[in-house]
Amino acid sequence: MSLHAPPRLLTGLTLLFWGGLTGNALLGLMAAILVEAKSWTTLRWDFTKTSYIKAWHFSVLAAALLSIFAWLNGMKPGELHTLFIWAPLTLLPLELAQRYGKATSIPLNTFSFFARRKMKHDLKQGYHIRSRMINIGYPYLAITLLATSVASKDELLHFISLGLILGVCLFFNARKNGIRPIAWIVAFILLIAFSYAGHWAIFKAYQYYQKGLSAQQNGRYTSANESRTSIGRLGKLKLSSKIFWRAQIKDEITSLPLVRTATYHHYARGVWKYLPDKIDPEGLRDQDGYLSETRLKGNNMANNIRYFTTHSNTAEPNISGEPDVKIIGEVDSSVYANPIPMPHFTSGIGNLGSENSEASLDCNTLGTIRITNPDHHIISYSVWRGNRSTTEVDAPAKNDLRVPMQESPAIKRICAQLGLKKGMTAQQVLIRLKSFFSTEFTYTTHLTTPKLDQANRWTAIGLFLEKTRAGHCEYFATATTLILRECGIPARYCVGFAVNEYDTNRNEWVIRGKHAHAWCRVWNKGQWEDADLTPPSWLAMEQINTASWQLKLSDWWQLLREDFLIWRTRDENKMMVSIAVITIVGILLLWLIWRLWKSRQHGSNRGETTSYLRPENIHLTPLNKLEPAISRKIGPRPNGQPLGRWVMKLEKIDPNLSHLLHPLTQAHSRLRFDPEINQARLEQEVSQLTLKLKKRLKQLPRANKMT
Amino acid sequence: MLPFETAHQLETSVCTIIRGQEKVIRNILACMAAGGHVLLEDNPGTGKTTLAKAIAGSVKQAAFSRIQFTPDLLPSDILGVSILNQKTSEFKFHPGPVFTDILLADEINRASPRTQSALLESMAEKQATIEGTCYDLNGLFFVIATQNPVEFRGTYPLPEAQMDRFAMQCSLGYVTAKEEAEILATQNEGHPLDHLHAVVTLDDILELQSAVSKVRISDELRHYIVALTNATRGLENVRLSASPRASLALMKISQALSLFEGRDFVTPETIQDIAPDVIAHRLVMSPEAKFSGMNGRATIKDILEKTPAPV
Repeated sequence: MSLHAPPRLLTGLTLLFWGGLTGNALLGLMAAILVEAKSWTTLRWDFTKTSYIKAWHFSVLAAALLSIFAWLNGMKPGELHTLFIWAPLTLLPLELAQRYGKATSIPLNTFSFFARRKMKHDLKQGYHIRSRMINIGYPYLAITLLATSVASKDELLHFISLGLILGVCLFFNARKNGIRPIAWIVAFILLIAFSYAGHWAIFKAYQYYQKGLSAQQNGRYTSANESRTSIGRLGKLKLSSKIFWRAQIKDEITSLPLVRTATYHHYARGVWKYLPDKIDPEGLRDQDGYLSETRLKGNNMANNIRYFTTHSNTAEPNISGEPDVKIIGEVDSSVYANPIPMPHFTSGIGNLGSENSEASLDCNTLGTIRITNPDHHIISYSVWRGNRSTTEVDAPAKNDLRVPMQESPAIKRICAQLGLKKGMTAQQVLIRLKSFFSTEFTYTTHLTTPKLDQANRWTAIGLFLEKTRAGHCEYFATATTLILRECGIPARYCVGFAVNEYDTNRNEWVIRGKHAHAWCRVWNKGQWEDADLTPPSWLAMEQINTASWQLKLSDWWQLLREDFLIWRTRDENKMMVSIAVITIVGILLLWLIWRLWKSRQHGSNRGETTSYLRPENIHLTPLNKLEPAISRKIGPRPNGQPLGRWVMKLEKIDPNLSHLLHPLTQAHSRLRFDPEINQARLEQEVSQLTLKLKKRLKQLPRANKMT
Repeated sequence: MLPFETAHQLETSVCTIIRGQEKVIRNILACMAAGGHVLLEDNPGTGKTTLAKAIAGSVKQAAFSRIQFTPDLLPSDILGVSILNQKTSEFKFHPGPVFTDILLADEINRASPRTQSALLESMAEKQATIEGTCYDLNGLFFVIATQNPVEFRGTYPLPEAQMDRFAMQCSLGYVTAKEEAEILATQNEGHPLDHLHAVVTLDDILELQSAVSKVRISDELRHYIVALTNATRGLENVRLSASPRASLALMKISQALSLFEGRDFVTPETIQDIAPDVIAHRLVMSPEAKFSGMNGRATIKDILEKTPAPV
């Protein structure tokens, strides 16, 4: 067990390093000053074992509060390890208790309730056990360095600083045992070089492993601009049964079959993309084809409802009354912009809460609405619907008719086989396709398409249509889109959710990961319509056992958390929560500071009392013998006060005594401290005066406790 | 004149000039009687020079000189210098201000260490070495050095070793409003120093000095003095603690002070009264202690409280 404290300034330096690399420079500086101020002042506390236990409890409490606070702010359980960044601060009470305490080490069993109980038990049984002592200076240092590495972003800077701190550490420890400086420096440089090489190698190995992993796994990914599908990949498609979104629907609307998250129009190698059309420089859209709410003419953000129109000259939609749909769910906080699900014919979005000025909604030409930089990753919003789609650009463009070259032969063959040709209406094509898919194809999430590797993904749809005839919604939707395009009908691919699970207890529709779906948008009679040709059996196959208690528990927990977070982010509640938190923390802090201030000591001169070498055979006078009687009147004599001066205090109680006290103290001093004196005569005088005083004392009141 | 009487006359005479400082004056005079030197750390205008002049004026035939220390002051400005006499072609020694009875070294920390040490040698050894010749400073040689506690720019603080040469450090401080009004009244028509008459002779003072060593002190109190200085040595707050010279000075000044109080023996009360003035300035506190507001005086008071006093 280490009983040595780290050299002076090292802990402070490390805390500054922590603050600098984790972006909490001010906190780091404050902690460093607190820790290092020990060397600049002699203020010390006489902590007992229980004080250290309290400090440890305080640290644990701080860690718990921090976790709760992080949870309140919507941190997921998987990210809990990032809280380790705060370990130097949560352990600060313990470190400060050790630094400002008089003891140089603390008992090891401070950290374990069971060890303390066992020790208590042992003592009861008569074993005399001394607890092991530990100085937590170096462990604290190590934890601070570890916490820094959790958060550190700049690898090289981190490594160099870490090397420096370690160097100081090792140097001071080695110096105690006597070292040759040059040999030490060479050894240290070698150590740093080897560890850098090791570090680099591990990093490279990790990168290699990550690369292999991403090549192996399918890397499904969906954003507003791109959807990497599982088309042409092998293995079982795994979908989560976690609740992604919840929808509360107005009573008049009975059902809400499909909610659309994003739409794409360019397909190649299993990836659907959104490619912006040529942008009109005078238009409202930015170079990526997005229409931001802030650029709308006459936008009515005052009533907190945002709407999108395809043309700047279109009249503002008349939005009033209760919203049609209310949607609650979580967006990925690590992504800049998240597409959010919308029912068809969306014309306005509102009640987004107090989003900050950087948060905004925007909409691309295909009608994908995304939210950028939301304040909180749990969002809730209301949707008003009109009677036609106002978010999609009406006219189909060249991209809506493109069939990739590699898939084209297979698509042509299928069209010929089904008798589909250009000039047919969308209705006719869809009816033929639907019967074709439902009779000849099966729905499966087992992707067992044979002989498919990276190179063959160009023709995955052709293989699906001609050979395997089994697949999941992405295959069906992509195939439908491409066949429609081959027939000259503009079509787009879109992703979203099928809404079919109703929670009767909460009166809301539940949308889980397993409900994720893909279908297509087809241009029919001058407007865009949904066309979903996936065999309807898919829903039955993706059925979830909602009765299982595990699912119920996890749903309950998740919904509780989401509801709380939404409650907390409302303006009227925000203030209340922060006032409550600040009050509690403030009261606790004040109480702690008051307790500490009351129990402070100057480490300085309160050592052992020094006493002078008192010669033997000291001749005490009768006044000395009267001391106990006098102390009953004026309180006990302070250790450092000579008797004469102390006795004079009687004068304050009874001024008439002074004519007696002066000669008495003088005679006493002479008798006591004059080495050459006629003792016999003076002693008689002192005893006479003392006798008089004794009589007078009896008439005086007893001392109150003031002295 | 009896030593008691000399002490009393001297004290009364100085107290007519300096109002409201009876206790400090007694301590300073006791220091003079004990053959020590005193360092006054005080703000300007509190009466340091007047005090020195009053002491000098109360003693018949006592020479008084004053040196204002400045950064360019040279040792020869203090000790004296030999100058070539053109007629006789011989060097003639011109003694400096140090050849006196009462010397006021004003703002001693303004001179360079070299000059300071010239004075300090004289203080410790009662002699001056000039161009290899050793001159004795016979008779009374009492130095009152002053220091300004506020201004530190352009000063050379006295080294710790030299602080030890001063038997005592004290400060006059400000008097009460009533006493200050009295000072104004007495100085309405001329300075009281102008009307000061010598009350004792130089020989009386020398007699007083020799009488001090005859003041009795018991063995027990000697141990008590040693215990006080010893207590400063084990403290973690004190970097440089009190030397045996401090113990010696404490004993001598206690003896002298007892004489001024009218006793021919020392009591523990006298020791306690004078101990902070005699010991505190010799202590060098650690930076941590200074930062926490501890100083030498507080340390000594702390020690006095904790060391069991002889009863």
